Amino acid sequence: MDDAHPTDASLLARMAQRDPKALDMFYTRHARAVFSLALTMLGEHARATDLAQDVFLLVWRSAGTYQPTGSARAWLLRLTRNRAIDELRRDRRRLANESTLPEQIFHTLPAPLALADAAERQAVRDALAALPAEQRDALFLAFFQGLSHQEIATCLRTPLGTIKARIRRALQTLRQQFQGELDN
Amino acid sequence: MAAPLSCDYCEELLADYLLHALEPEAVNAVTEHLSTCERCRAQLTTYEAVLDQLAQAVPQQEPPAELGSRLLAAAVEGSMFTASAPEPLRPHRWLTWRPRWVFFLTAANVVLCLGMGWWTWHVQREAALVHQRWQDVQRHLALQRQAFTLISAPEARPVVLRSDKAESSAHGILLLKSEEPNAVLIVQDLPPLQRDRTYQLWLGLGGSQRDNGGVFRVDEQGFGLIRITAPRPFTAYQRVGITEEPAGGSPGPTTPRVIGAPLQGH
Repeated sequence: MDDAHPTDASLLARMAQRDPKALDMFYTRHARAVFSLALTMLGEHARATDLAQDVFLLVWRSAGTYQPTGSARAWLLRLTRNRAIDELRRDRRRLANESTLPEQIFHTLPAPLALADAAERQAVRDALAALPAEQRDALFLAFFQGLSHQEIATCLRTPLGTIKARIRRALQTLRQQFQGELDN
Repeated sequence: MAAPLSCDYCEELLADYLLHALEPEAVNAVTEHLSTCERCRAQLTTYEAVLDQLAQAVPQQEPPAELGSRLLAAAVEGSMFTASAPEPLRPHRWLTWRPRWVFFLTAANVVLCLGMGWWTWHVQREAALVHQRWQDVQRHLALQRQAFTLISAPEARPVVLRSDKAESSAHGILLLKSEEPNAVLIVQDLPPLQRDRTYQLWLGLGGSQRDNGGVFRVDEQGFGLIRITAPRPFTAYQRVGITEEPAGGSPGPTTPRVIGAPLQGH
């Protein structure tokens, strides 16, 4: 890639040297994906904005430690998801441990369960739509809400073993579907 | 030290490993196995690819325009603070000569430092609580602003949600713009719930299909002001309803509707 279109790896290397222009370009390239995932998981515009800023600042501070084992965007979205899950779990702990706070009155969880219809890419939409609903719900609760298997089992009033099996089967099916798509 | 895993068992745990759903001991066992097993690492990569696809599949929305400049300002400010490390302190010459009173002075200093340490911790904790409250207030103000904006928008329309039971005073107003997925819900006189229960909003499509509109709680007076981000624009929905569900919400309603309303024809 030329200087006008640097690779993510070169931008990260420049960020490690404290080049704000590289951060600006990296942000412009990935901000939409990071913000959208944060918004889907947290459901609140203000929190998603704060989280997106935190993620990019983390990248800025730790750009020197980045090991390019896959796409930088995938790595960035994993960071985003991990941070969002930390927040969601903190929320749930506070909800469980404290009496009603004003914040909880306003707190809403996002509704990503319609992703099968809303997913941007047709192939992903088809693959998700083909999953049995109970497998899809369990997978989404684990992936987008960061619920433990035990929490999902309680929430859905379903045995723990069944939840584990549903999530595993969902992932295996999606893996086959996506693999087929990549092969084609 | 974690017990060694077989490849079959490791593969069984990989999905849970990636979803952060394993106990710490099992995480250690899988990590250790992956460090030596190329085959399982390859399996892990294929599962990672699936989750990466999911993360990228969410509906895309533009971040606020000011976020980019905010980020750059924070990054540059952080760099300024970290760019110049303070000079290391050098001991003064008089400190190399230590008469007995120096030991008493040192002991007094230790006590003073401990006291100051406790005080600093206390102040930081208070500051963190105040900061948290401030963020809560900001969030609530933003929500109220959104509600006022919607109320004053000419194309906004209110949908009144009522109970099917004549004796119930529970009711709500959903303020929405048909072409958009964002709305504000104001509810009143809903019975406050136990900690393990929550209210859940349902957005009905055709037939028995519906979307989850999110979960919420009400205060002791049964009041709640909730921002809704629906999975689709409100033109897609035919009705709206609220049920009581276990904390965290359910994939489908498990109790009778508390309040609700049709959306078509409004």
